Amino acid sequence: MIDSKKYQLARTGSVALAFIVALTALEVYARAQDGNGELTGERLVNARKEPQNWATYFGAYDAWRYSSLDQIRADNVKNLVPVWVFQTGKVEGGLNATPIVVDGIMYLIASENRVFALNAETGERLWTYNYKVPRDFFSPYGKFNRGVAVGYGLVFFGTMDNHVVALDAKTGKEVWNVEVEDVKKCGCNINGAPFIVKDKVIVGGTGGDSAHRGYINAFNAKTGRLAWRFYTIPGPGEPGHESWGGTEMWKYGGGSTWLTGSYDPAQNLIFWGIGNPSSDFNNSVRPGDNLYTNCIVALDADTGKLKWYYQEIPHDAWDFDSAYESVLIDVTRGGKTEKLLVHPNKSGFVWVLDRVTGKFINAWPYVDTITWVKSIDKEGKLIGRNEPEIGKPNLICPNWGGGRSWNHSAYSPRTGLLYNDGIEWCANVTVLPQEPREGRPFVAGNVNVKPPPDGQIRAHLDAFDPVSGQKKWTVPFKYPILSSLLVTGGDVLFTGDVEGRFLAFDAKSGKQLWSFNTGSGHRGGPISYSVKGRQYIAAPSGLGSIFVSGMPATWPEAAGWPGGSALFVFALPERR
Amino acid sequence: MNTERLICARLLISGHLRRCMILVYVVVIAFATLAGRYLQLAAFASSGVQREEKLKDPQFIAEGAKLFAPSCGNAYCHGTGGVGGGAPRVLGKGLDSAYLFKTISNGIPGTGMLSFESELSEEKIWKLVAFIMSDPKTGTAKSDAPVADKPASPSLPVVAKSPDAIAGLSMAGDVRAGKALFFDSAQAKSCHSCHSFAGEGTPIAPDLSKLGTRSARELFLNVILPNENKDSRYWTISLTLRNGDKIIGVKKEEDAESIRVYDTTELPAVLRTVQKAHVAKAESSSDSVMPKDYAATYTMKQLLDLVTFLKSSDPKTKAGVTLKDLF
Repeated sequence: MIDSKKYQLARTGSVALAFIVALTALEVYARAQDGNGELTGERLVNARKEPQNWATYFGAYDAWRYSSLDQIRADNVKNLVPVWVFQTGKVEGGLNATPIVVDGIMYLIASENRVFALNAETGERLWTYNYKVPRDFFSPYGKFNRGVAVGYGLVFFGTMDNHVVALDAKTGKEVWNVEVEDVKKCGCNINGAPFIVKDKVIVGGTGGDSAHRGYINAFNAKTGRLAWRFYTIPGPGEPGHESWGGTEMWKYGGGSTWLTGSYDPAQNLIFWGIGNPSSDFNNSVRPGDNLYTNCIVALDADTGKLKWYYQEIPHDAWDFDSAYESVLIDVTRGGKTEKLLVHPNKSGFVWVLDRVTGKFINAWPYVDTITWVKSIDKEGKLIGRNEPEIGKPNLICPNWGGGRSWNHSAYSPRTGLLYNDGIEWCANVTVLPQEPREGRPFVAGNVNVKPPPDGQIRAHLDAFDPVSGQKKWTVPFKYPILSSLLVTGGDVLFTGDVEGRFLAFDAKSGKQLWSFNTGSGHRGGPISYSVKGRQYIAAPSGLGSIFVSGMPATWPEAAGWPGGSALFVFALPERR
Repeated sequence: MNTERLICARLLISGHLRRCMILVYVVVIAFATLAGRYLQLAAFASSGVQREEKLKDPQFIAEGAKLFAPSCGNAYCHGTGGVGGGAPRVLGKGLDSAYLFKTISNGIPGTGMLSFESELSEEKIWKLVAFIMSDPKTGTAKSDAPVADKPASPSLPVVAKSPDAIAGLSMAGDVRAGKALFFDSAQAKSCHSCHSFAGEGTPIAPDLSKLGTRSARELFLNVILPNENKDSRYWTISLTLRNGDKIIGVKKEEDAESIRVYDTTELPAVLRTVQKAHVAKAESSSDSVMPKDYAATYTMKQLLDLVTFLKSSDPKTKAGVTLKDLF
């Protein structure tokens, strides 16, 4: 709000006022600098009170991808100009990350775990950290990375070969490094952003389409020592183990934790979406519900103990992970404030849960074409499951790539809307039984992408009521949106398309207001921050990910799309 | 064979008739297996013309297609019918049969192309070659994945039975159970958290695949009495920092300004870079940081399995280890 006032005052053109504004801006900046020392768990709880920063992967613990900065508004966004561009120097793997900005410093991670600290105002590079790329290494889950976490004077990230590393935020020098599990053995790695809660850094991992048993690890942020581990598949003797039908599949059943969680400080609970069971398409080898795959789990932040879980899709046969973001919103209905968790799932549905009890509230579709299930009843039960069959291709919608990919939704407390993208596509799925070999792919099936029964493969960007799913507006797209969304206090919704255009929409109406061609498609997370009172929008540009490498099979022209790895930063022109 | 004869003769002289017989048995089996594979391959490869014809045999191609679907064709890799996965397109590219055979057998290090040598027989690899070389448009290679006969029941590592179930000194160790124990990711104190075996695992402590030539008894004692190991590279280092923190572990390296230590307070170990200026006190002792309670935490059968696995890296001890060998 302060930023908005400053901007309006500056517009009057008064030299005296401009001078006062400049002083105020300097004061705000100085206070931010003084206040920092370092970003602590406590400061992160109050991240919304520091709108100049983009302090966590999702912006704040609630996973809104919302910035309250309002200097850039629907009525002036057309004036945005690029102010600096940072080239990471290597296009393989694209730029999948969401940058972090703390007190005027930006921390950015690019493919192969190259980390950069930049002056967020000028783009000047302060330090570079190059991870030593292991020889003869391969992970099916790629060399790209979605983001760092910053706190306690350290920069944390997971690596392509399954380490967690902490760097000194001032120098970029390594402080600690822990190998979670040998990548050659587990077929898993870390490309999701770590998550700081209190004095711990919490990290998920890939491996859900490999023969692997998933987990979430919490490390002591300062020492790197393991504080707790939550296995997403209960071992013998633990509650839920029986949901694997007495088979040995609990050892190989996936349940990866490849994205980043949310945190509710009032309950001291971490919410994390758990990935699919493997083998993905052949569920006959794991009779039972296969807990805690395809669940939202609520864990005590201090101990990692399970408080509650809700399983969206028991006994999955479609690779419909529950790994995507858990958006935490409070809604007042009938005079009562409900603490909700809104969770878009790969399957084309958004689940709405009570985040205190884990109780089911609603499930609503965000895509038109859903054939894997007929409906979801009032208790959350799946009605009319349409499972792929062994040896007989079966048309399943949406395709296993998802009604949406992992790139995240955004929620604005101003409009009360959840912004989300969708893809209308299907696939002929064939089950091909496979034996588990630890750490090797364990998919047990194949897909052949097909258009939906009602027409062409297509995509859209939409605004929904987050609880009822009522659609407020929709914008059609030819190709899937693979960039995360950002919504701001100026009621502007930002995202980028796969051909390179960075786009701004009116958050209230969906009207496109502005675009800028960055030259390569968008796969990362745009953010907003401010330095010395000036609001910036940062847009990662650069295609590259598992989804992107599979695109040419469906869109042959995608094979010719240029790669890239650059960060574009925009602002309104400076008033002089 | 000469080496084996020599060893056998030595064993006989020293009264180890049984071990000599085992050795002979092992050598004969190994030779027979190798010879069988060689003959099988030779029969197939003896005539270039014959092989070319086999690679064109629709039945052979169809069987290759069946194998291709689950092993190579998932969407992470070469995709349905060899098109559309994350890995390069392989079908209809005119790839050479010898190249394909070699690549499928050995994989391509540093890429997603895994080695299938241990998973598939040579005949099956040739079937894959036949399918990949076939023309996708002739109908011999179907675009949709072929029908699998029935769901295969997964084969799983043999889980060690409780020691009570198998009594006596003739109880034999199980290599697979030992390997599963070595790499048990559910156990923080599992060997792989510090050791590697043939390059897999964690390189804080020695790679144990190099110790297979030690006797079973020696390995057993190394596991349960770790302090008997006197290699100074793995001694315990204890750093007290100026802020009061204490780090106990194994030193990796140091330079003029900093020291890098594997902090083993909790596992997995943390490689910590400590500025020397921050160190108040540094001590080192000949104690090993290895847990000293394996005799209590593992059953006798588990320890036997573990030793059997460690011995398996020695080609001369393929015959296995029995409980008697530990004492």
